[in-house]
Amino acid sequence: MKVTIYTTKTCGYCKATKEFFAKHNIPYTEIDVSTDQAQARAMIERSGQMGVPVIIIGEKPNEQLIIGYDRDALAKALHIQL
Amino acid sequence: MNQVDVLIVGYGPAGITAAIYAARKKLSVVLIGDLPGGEVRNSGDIENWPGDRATDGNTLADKLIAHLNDHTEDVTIVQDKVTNITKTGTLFTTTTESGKEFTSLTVIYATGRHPRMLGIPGEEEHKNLGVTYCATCDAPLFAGKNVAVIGGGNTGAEAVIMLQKIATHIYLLHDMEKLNADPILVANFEHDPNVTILYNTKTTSITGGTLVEGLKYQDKNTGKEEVLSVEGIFVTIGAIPNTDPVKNLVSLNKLNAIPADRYGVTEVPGFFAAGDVTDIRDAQIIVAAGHGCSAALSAGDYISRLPK
Repeated sequence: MKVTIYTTKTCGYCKATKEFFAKHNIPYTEIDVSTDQAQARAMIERSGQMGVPVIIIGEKPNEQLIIGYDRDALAKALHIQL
Repeated sequence: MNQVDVLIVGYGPAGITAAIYAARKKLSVVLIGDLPGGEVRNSGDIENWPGDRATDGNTLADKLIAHLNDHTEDVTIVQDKVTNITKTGTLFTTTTESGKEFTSLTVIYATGRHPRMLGIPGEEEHKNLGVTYCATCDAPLFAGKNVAVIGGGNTGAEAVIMLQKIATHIYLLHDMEKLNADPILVANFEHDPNVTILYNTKTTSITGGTLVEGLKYQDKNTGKEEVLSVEGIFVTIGAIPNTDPVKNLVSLNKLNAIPADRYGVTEVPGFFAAGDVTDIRDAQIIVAAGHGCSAALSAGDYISRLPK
């Protein structure tokens, strides 16, 4: 399943989410919006969110959007047993 | 899992320090926490942690965790959320969100605080849609925008400093005549033409469609309602202790903090508390770590006196 995470360098919850992926061997693509304004705008448009982390799991039209470091929601979307 | 000597709740500086000290006393430890490193992760630059001169929240959190991980022989780390703690006889039972249960001789409770909300119209529905409680996390998303920071304490001042490099114009709204923030922080922006400090104001509502478009505030000097056009609102008005899981175990003060002495001792024998979740005066990383140390030593002392 395709996993994309929008982050900023200083965001602790982004780091915690990435550690969660690593722990469960989930490959992901990271987009750092703190250094890329175009990507920041793209994230806001795509997710309607102005907070990080934003995680997108799967692909359109079945993609799932998860806001923040929410272990339960991540586990459910990725079919992980906690 | 078998019964352990010390169950620590909290994965921040207080909990981690308590775990290191307890492990060095060769006590068996379970540490339960959600965000590795705790709220420290969301601090930006840190320049008052002795020995490190200038560091940041993520780096310091990583160093604390690396140090803790030297003690995995004695410390079991469980990434979970504690929902309830009870005491029966001399034993504590701790339950987590995922349904795990732990029994321990002592508990060190060091769960810190979470940011306080304004509690005004428009806030809840604009969370993450322009309203944020973590400038460290979200400031980069407001490049080239006008923003407001609400609350003139150190967290608010640090938010302004982060935003100075990013946002177009920053309004700092404070409810009194003088900022509470340390002068060394305020000096960074008090003469910046891109920063307007609005004293004696009370924010009354947040406005906008899907995303934030502005806020309304009352000027307490004139009583008049004013409007600001901003796309980002950073709320920095203090924090509330995370005491829900223990509200039936220990009495709380009127701010919902756990009364604890300088050694982390509370009114409940065997239940110790440390750091920002207690009624300690200074919400500082170094103080939380020190308090965690004392709580661990208190727990060790308590265990050594239990009847065999």
